Amino acid sequence: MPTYVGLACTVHDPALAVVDAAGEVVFAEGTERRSQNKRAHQRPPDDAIEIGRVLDRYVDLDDEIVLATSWERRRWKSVAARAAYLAAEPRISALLRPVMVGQTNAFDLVGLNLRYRLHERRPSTAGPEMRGFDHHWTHAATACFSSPFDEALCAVIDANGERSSTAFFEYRRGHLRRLDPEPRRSFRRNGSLGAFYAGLCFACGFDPVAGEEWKVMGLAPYGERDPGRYREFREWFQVDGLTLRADNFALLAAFDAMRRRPSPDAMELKDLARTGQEVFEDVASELLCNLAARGASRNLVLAGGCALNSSFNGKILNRTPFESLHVFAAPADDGNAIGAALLAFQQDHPTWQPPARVMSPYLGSQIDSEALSRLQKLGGLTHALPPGDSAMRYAAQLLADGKIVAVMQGRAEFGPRALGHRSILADPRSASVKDRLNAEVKFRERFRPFAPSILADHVDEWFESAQPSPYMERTLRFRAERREQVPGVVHVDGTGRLQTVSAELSPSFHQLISRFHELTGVPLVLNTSFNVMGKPIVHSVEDAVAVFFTSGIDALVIEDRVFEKHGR
Amino acid sequence: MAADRDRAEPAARIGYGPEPWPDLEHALHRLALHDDKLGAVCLRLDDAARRERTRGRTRAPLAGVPFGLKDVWDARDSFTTAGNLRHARRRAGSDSLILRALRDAGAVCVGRTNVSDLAATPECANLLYGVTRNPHDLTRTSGGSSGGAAAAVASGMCAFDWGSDFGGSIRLPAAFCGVVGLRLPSRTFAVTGHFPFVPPELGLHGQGPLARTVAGVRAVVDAVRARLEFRRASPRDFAGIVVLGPDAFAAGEWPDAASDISLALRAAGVSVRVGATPAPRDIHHAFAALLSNHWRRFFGAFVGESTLAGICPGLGKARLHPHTQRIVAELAIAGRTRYRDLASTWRRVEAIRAACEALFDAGLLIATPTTTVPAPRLGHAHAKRELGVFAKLGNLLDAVALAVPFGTFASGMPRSLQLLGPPGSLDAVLALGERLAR
Repeated sequence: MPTYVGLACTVHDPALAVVDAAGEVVFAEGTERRSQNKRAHQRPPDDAIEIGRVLDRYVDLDDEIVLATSWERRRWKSVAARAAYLAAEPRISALLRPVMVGQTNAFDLVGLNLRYRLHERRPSTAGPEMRGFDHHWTHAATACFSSPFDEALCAVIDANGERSSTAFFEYRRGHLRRLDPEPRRSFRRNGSLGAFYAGLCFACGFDPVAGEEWKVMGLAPYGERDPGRYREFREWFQVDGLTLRADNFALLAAFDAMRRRPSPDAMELKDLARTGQEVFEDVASELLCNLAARGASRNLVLAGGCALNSSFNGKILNRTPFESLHVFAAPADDGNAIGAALLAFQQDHPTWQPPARVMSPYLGSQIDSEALSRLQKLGGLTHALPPGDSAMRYAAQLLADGKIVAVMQGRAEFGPRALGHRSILADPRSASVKDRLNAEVKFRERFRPFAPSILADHVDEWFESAQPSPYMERTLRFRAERREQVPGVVHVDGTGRLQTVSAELSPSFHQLISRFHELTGVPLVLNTSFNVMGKPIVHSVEDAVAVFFTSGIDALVIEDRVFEKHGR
Repeated sequence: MAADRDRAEPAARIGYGPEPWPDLEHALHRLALHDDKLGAVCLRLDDAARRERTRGRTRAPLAGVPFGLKDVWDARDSFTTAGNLRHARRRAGSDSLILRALRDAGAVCVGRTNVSDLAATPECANLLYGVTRNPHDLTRTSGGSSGGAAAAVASGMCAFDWGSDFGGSIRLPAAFCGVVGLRLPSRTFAVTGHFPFVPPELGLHGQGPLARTVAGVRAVVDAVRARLEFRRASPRDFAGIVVLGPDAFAAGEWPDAASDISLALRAAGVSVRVGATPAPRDIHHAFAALLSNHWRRFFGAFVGESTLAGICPGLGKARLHPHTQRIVAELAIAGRTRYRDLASTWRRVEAIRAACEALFDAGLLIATPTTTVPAPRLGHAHAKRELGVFAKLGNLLDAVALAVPFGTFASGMPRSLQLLGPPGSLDAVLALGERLAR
């Protein structure tokens, strides 16, 4: 019975996923985690050294192996040719060239290291079959197959696929059907909200290559809409049913002209951020309303890089006729590794239907127990857990006492969000905790907000328009009477990008927050990713210790070990 | 004689319902008694309303309150036609967000209220359901496009209705029928599940409740706000009001509107000054130009023709009510002639927006007459070019716009005052409206 290895092979955010013979996703991880290289630009998803360890752990080498990529092989030549053309386009070559030329190389490199390591382990066996899938189909597959829906409408809103930047599907009983006509036009004319937002990020003085679009989202609530700019941006786009048109070159050139040198005070550009965010939301809303008008389902599944816009995600159910929304933990190109592997599985098992449940995001690497033992034995740190207490309960006590606690539990999350397994936690009741975290731990801009993780049963008490948000994919507004209770996680506009924590998906994190609730009466904690700015979330015990000792974190909890700094 | 004609015969009016906030049975009784004369409700849902009430949540904010739903909001269990003959059997795949929000708040829908064809004209008439008359004078229009809504609310057939407004379609009928109408800004309250589609990027389209009192309007908004308000504008306080009155272009039958309104506001303890900018004539031309430049986006799908040469045969095939045909033809022709320069259109619009934003930024709301003419005789609304000028200002600004009853014209027909403010001023505008009502 074959094992399916999905390879997300976009030039940025490469990732690898393994689906077993039963159609279960047994492993998924982004290359950036293993390499500790933010977004792992121009690296293959099958890292030359790490891929061997993944194969040994998750793949039965006696089985046949099928490789599945997140771009369609037969179109690679046209994508590569278009990439070369775009790279030569004088107006925007400086903006796009690194990505486009890198993408050409990515197609050439994908799977080479994996084939080598397979050959190393079973030299007499023929190399694995490789199948390519349409980029937007892999987005849709990841999103729909991970959702709790039997039927849904799916919108993929992206920067770029083989031909278009958007794609719309109907999902029914495990099968996808594309709804919008595939465009014949080039990337230039297919309106790209992903390119728009990247350009906006660039114009605001941030770095879209480093994935700093969420800085724009964090800045936008401080600003006001500029009517003239709004009209200028909005007129770039024409929405015609499920087709989005724009001159992407013109809009990228316009943003390029707006670009200011990175300013120490990003607040200067808050109105630009706000205006751009509103245009993004309004255009995307119009597309989604047109999708809803098909009437095929009241469930929406959202995918593509633009689905990382949590500020918009939290407004979708208030702006469209949809009644339920699902956005997977990794909606961007890294998540396509899962979609590609599952599409390959489905090709061989046409009657397979994924179970309708919220897929666990904890699909990454386990904590290395040997490294943890070495830390305890040789690190010179005192294990601080009182006897008879559990690490999660003790961590909750530390939080209630005002400590900043880094937590490393179980398998790592897949995707950009820390969901309690690789997190830095703090007491949200403190108004000063934001400044302390930004200055002493994360070393980032002061306007950046922090996110709450809340017990799922308490969402309605704390948030307006309460919705499940298991992957921290939505921003909702706190109820007015609650905001003063948790100033550490309330953004300037009264919102918070929340994670709803259930005991089913994350029992240890649920236990920690429950204990914090018992101690303080507040059923939520501040949750930020376990990393410093500019670096990915920590991958190994060694990474965690390095951040612990070079930042203002007070305590480090790895599995059932607790280490505290003294003298803080 | 003219004076005699202006005073309606007692038998030719229904007047206000006895209760400003009727219960369900009261509303259904009024509906049965009077709607054959008024034509306000095009689809009655009596049995469904009674079933909804028995199933409803008794502690919901609008538990058991009867409402009408303008025939533009999508609903799965009834046709949404926009009064258009070709869409007589149009059934939406899902309920609009506002319908869901109102039902979640416990309100029960007694029926779909009549609209002008494609919600496009200020007179409530269409080829599908006919004409809606004004409850204060059955020879006059109830206004449009939310004419059925206003007439139903005024005559006690429902406690409130939910309308839509991209050119005064809530406020003009509210003014003509003597009820309160509120337009909520589209950049904070999304318009979804509305047929026909209105291009959102122009910022003209809004929605909101009609009710007999400001308190009633506020109760409805409070019940649905969390569901509909997708973006919060920074709240703003205001220190005073600028009153914009009619010029020669828009004098109508209320040339002293500015002084009348100023007196009332001062009596309510508000600091007032009278302004002259933007001029009503400029508002009229800016709005007309904007619609003319974009007429294809609004009506192209219905006419099935986007060229000027094809417009007349296109209109003939489209089976539109003559009033709507006239409006579409005027817009199409003006868009290719008088208002053909899009850049000039935007300059007009932005000059008006800039002038009013300056007032808002200075801490001032704007007060105007909602309209300076009483409800026109049936079939004559199109001749009153000044009819919707002040209401259209609210759309150009994408403002919070509240129309409240303000005495009567010499003919005895209701008169109305309009308050305008930026998106963050909703609470301030409603509070001022309540003070004026007292």
